Amino acid sequence: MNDYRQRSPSWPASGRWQAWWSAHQKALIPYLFIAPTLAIFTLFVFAPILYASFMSLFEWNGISTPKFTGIDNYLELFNDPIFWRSLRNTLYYGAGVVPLSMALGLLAALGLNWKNLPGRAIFRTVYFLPFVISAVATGTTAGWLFGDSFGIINKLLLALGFEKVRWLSSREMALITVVITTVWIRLGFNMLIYLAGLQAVPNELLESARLDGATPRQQFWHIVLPLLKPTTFLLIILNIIYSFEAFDLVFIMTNGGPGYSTTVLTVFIYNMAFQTQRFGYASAIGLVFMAIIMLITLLQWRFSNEGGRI
Amino acid sequence: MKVFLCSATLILAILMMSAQAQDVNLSFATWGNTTEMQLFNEMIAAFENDHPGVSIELVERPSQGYKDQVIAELAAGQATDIIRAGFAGDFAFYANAGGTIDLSPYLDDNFSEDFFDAAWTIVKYDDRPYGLPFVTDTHALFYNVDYINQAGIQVPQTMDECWSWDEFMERSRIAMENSDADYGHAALWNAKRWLLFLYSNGGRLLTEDMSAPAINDELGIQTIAWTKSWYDEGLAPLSTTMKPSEQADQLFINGSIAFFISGSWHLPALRENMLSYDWDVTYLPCTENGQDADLGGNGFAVTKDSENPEIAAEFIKFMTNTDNMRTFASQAFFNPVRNSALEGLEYPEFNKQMLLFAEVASTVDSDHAAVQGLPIFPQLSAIVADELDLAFVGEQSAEETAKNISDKIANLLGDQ
Repeated sequence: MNDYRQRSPSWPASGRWQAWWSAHQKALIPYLFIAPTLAIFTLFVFAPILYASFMSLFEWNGISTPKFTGIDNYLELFNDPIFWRSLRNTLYYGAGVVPLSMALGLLAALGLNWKNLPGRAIFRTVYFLPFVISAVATGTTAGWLFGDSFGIINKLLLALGFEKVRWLSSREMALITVVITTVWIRLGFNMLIYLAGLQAVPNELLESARLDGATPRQQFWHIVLPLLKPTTFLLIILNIIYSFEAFDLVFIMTNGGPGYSTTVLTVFIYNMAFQTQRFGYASAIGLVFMAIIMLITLLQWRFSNEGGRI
Repeated sequence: MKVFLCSATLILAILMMSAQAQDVNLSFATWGNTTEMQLFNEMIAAFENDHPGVSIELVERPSQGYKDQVIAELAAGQATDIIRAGFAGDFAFYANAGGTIDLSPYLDDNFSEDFFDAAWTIVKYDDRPYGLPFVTDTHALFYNVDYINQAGIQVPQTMDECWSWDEFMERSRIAMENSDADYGHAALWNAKRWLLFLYSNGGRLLTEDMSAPAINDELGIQTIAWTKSWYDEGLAPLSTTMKPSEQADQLFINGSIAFFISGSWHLPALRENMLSYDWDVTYLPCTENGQDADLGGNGFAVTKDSENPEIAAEFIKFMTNTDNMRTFASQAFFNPVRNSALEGLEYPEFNKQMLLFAEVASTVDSDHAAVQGLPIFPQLSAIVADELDLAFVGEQSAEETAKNISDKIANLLGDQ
């Protein structure tokens, strides 16, 4: 069944080669399958990471000859208050976006999983649309919605007799507003994955539970939610990585301000690389940031019972 | 036979030379609006007409991210022959990094005489020209005529009548309280634009020899405190600080603010978009030192990757000659940087306003402009903008801001 030689007329006829292939084909075939992806990853991910690791040991403005500075960039980074503030902002941002977008995504999925819901397809589109539109467009739209002076939300608040809220220009509110916008964007994606998970929940289990007298709430907590655990685990990882990588939305909406209140690590890296042309320092921040993401993912993997099954 | 061989060689040489002359292809990267691109195309056509065999490709790029792309191309050795560069430290940055070439071999000894001192200072690095300045722009005070009339405010008619800082704040408050404006004023900030107020107040960012910071003194603190008070007193919207979440020009167009500090390049946009209100331009507020101006503007440089630097230099000399500079400045709403181009200059539209901008531009001190000519200006600029934003949003006092800027600049200069 696995004899590929019979299927390929151009297969080399050499006996020694055939013997070698027969002995190793089981081990080698998976590598052939992943080879194209691996090649792309090597070219566009691994090689740039290696290059960035090398560059992080230099002071370089992008054009002139790089000046070797050893670990100076890393020492500077650990003493840079803006780095720590950006890291804190990134963690706050993730802590807001991940649970909120997942909880609301699950809620939407539960509603849309109800087959008798009129206009199911329309709702699905409405929830999913922000996710498929470019973050630059959604960020600009959110800027118009939340703008202090001519934002639609403030106009509505004023019309209803409330005070204006400084959504994006107040240090206290800006990060919250960016989190709200991100949740709006991510909700659709989480809903879609949860919906697929919900549709895979066996009906027989729910029917037996119903026959045994389980209420809908009990069915949800004791059958549906445990069965969604692998989906939830996958979404936690994807959302954490997404929230750590978020750049375009924050950059468009607040440019990291007011002050540094929405400066997340990606914005900080961009500013260092492209505003001050410190590519070595930006590379060092990027690598430390990558290590942090890997550590958090690893911890999440380690402490999740389902980690090994994904 | 010998004669035949000699003739054949000669003909071949002539053919090769003419083929070479045909082969001069230059590329020129620039940002620009429709009018600017059209003017560049006209200049290219005229140059190609005068130089048979030379063809120039105009590479249009968005202004956002333009410099990043130039840096990436220079790093890869694939930059265009000619680049457009801004006055905010670009010329020195490219030159210091070896990205652009010294133009001295292609210029006569007295070539710079006709150019404004400040503009020529900007394109120099290590006392040699690494580019040619083209046009300049500066800032003035746009105002909503309807609101000013509603509030009964008279604006300065000459530079000598410019409002003091206190007078300006008072007018801004009157406009906010007695007209339909939500706020008094706003600026389209960046660090370079803020420096005009520091210079106008007699302050300095760096010492005269540019070896140390000089902002942490009474004049520096006073300037920070004054611009910070715009936000503390609620005269300017907090969404328009150094890191804005709303664009000040949009607020002016929508009638949210009465006064708007910006440059001449906004004239066409206001004509097209600000249809519900009348508007005009007057002089910026000043101190007893008089006016100082923001030195905005741009010029051209030849990159290290050019295979035909001589012709590339010839082309940028052509673009910056008196006639081309005057035509471009008048139609794209800039001010020229040649004295000869100023003579008889008339703008087809906004002539009065553009002459006011030109008058303000003439107050630029070349000593101040030299700071913009430093290769570290982008880093200086980022330090000033970040710290000022913290002050404007109320996170630190003017004194702390001056000290932080000073400390960070000292560190930066120490690392050089």
